[in-house]
Amino acid sequence: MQRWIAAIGAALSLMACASTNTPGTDGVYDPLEGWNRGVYGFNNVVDGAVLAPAAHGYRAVTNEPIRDGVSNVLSNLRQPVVFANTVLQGKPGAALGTVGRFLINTTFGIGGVFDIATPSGLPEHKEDFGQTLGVWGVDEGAYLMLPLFGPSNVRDAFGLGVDTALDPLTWAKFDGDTEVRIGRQVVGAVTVREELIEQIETLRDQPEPYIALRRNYTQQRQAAIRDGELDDDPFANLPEFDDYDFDDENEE
Amino acid sequence: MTSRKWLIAAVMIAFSAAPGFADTQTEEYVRANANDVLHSLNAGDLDVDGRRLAFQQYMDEFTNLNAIAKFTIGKYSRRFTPEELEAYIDSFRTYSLAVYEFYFNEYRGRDVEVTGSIDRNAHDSIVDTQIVRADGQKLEVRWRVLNRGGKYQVVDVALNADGNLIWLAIEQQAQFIAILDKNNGSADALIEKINGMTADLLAQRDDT
Repeated sequence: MQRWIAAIGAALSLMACASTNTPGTDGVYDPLEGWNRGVYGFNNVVDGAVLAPAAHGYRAVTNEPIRDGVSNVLSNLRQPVVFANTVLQGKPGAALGTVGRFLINTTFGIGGVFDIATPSGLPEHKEDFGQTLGVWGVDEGAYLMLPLFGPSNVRDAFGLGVDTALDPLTWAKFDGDTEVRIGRQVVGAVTVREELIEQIETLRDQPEPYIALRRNYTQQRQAAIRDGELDDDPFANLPEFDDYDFDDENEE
Repeated sequence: MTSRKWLIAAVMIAFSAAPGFADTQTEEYVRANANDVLHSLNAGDLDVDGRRLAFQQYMDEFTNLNAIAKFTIGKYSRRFTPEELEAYIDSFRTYSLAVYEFYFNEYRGRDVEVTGSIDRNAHDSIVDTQIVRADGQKLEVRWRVLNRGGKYQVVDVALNADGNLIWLAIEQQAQFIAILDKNNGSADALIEKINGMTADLLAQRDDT
């Protein structure tokens, strides 16, 4: 318990630091950039040696319906956590929809293999505790690159821990429970990596992939907190071009 | 309120709302030119080199690549020597044209439809468009258009990824400046990086 309190205290202090520090030139607060870049390099090595070959192999030996089925099962297993977060975010419609979705897909969808709920008007909601904290107004804190898990920030890393605690499968006791939990993590990692094959190739084609990932992750999370809606005034803070352009035209 | 005051109030409200929308000329500028660009990649009467040349000419007319080039290096646009700046802009232009050709190729021959617009101010507008790919997938593209002395030019393009607007020039600026910061502002380091990426793109180019 004391360790939990210490961890929460450390997380909150990093968040507090974030609110008093200026973000970097690209708008993301990354005081641990040196460390993060090291972890990013490590993750790339692991990815190249294990995850990417597994993802490509998985794609090669399966067809799309099979991969969709696996992805649906994993998504269905997340629904209790999604439900808890919709409640914490005060979204009763999404909460009820998530319960309905879970029940329909678990029964008629044969354990979640088939997503019957979406065409029935119960779309998937993607909520986690990092987003819940964001909805509550908690600052994202310092950008973090987590070993094996990839890009995150203090708020989302803390949220990841809470989501794990909220997940019934974390606590369920049954024969082979440890194997099931490990299997879910492994299959989940390969499935996500397979879904991201093209995106990761695009990322690696960028001039500075670390910066591209850092910006993209941060902006995507902000958009997720807004439930995919554009900012109220998305063009308010666009930079001006006047400092750079039209000098030649004006001189003409 | 008298009927005259009502009329004045209504006119004032109408005029105060008007600047929120880009004028039809700006929208038409984007619609016509974006369509020209996409159709140039599909011109059946030209060979590959001819199509590429037409595409590049349209892009040069449609966008202000020199301004974008300088914008993407931010403060370094004033720190580079004139020779470095010229070499960088050359390199950037080649890279940008290769990037745009690579990505627009998926939409070649398709129609660009204007779906809305908004003025940031009298000379700076955002025009929203939609392009439908051959497989039915829709792409939302927003074009930032500046009007300088009656001459319109596109300076940035945004894609909407689940509520996250990704402005291409702004993303490039963040990455280019990071490269320059890491290399003590070396123009050569950035140019070498850009030329490497251009070579990769050209190697993947679809020459059909």
